[in-house]
Amino acid sequence: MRDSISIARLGIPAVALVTEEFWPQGDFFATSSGMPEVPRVKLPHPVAGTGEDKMAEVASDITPSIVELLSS
Amino acid sequence: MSLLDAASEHDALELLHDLDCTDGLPVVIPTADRVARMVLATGYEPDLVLGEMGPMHGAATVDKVATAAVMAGCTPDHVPVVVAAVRAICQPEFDLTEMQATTHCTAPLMIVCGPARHACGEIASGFGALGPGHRANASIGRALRLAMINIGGARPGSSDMALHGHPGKFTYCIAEDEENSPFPGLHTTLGYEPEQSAVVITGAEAPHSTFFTGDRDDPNSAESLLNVIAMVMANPGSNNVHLREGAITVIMNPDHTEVIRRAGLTREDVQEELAKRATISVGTMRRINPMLFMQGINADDKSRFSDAADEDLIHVLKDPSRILVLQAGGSGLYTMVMPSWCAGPHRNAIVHSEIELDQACEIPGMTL
Amino acid sequence: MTKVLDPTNETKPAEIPRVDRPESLDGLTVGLLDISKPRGDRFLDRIEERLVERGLRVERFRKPTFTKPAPVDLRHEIATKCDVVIEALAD
Repeated sequence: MRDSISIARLGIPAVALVTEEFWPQGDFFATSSGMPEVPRVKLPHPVAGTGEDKMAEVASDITPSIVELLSS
Repeated sequence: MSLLDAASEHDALELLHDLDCTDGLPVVIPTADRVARMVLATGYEPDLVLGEMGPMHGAATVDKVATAAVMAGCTPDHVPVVVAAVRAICQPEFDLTEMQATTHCTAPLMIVCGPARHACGEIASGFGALGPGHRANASIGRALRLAMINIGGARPGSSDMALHGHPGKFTYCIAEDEENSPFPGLHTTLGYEPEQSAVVITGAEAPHSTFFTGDRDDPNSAESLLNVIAMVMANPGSNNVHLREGAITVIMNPDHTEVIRRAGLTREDVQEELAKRATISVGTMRRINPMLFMQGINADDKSRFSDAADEDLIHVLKDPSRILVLQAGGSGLYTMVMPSWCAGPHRNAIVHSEIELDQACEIPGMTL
Repeated sequence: MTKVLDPTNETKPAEIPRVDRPESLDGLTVGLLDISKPRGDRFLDRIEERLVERGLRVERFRKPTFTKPAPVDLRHEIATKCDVVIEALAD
């Protein structure tokens, strides 16, 4: 989250992939960094350690939202 | 500072609980009068900024810190230690923003050194000093936590992501037992004069008990004691073995420091010996956490360890000065080892700040 | 009536404006920043495949450790090589 905010500060559109467990922390970081609308895509929690099949499924599910958030 | 209205002190407490401004326990209500008196005890202007507290980047002004001290139940005598502690943890080397936000359980352990142990307390250094029953230890440590919650904005599950936390996140404050210790004051090793006072702060897990029975007739007693402490420092589940180069606190009881004294060892000797002995084998790391170990949390792990033999040893830390060694606690069989988080841009470095005594302004109606 | 002083931080951060986004990602380079959480790279491999299937150009970056913010040099490298960035995996 903090990396995508620093990259956005350099003028590059950025999106952070954040799992649902960490969404509230993301809200907090976004607000306290002065970028409450920082673009984020929500993933189920956890992703890492759930196995290759699950990771592939999540990747397919979220790619359209990523593309949508990065373009207007 | 803004004011909140409540019909009574009872309602005010409920309001502070509802606003997530407490640690879950009742607090002393920070009325304007109480806070004003606490500000006077600091000797500073209320709007002086002591530092910026992450992760909210809150301004730790003297009046907000005094508010935390009032809520925690501090007396004016305690507040110089709270002010020094806030200054210490706001130093960039402490990585407060990352530390408050981490999923690891870590809390600032405050070690009070020098005359302030008596002048600001009595801050306990003996039996049960890290447990209940010591007002100064309890209130001072709690004031720092309330500042971290309310000024730093660390709230469980939204900005403080510690998976479990630990009880030291309520309060975690101890004094060094300087008078009975074979070592010089811990603060003097950090450049302070013995007559100065300082608070030394390290991010720490809960104390891990280390059992050891000394034997006056055994010439290898000190050797055995150092070995067992080093083994606890290299506990295979700890962040210290996975991330390495963090800090470790070793609080020895008077019987254990006596073993060290009889062996003719200084604090620096103990630090060096522990750094040398606190190791884990590459084979153990491969077995316990192959993915983390080989992918490498530390950037160079993969290249360093991919060809290493199973019996090769990894040192938990290279720099002996990252081991804080001091005496405190009652006389007996146990030394306490506090592992640490070891992450953050500066590896959550050990920080310290002078405790300024004799700064207090006169408080109306109070004899100082 | 009891008057209670607000114990919380009352300073407000300066707002960072949202960066303008391109109309479409066609012909642009997408940076994939791996924050080095365990197995995050496997997940990013899958994301990369999906983006490439859509005809996008992808550049991969990995910060040295998830325990620290990305170094300034890496952030600048990303900013010079990429048009948009995806950061993962923040758990």
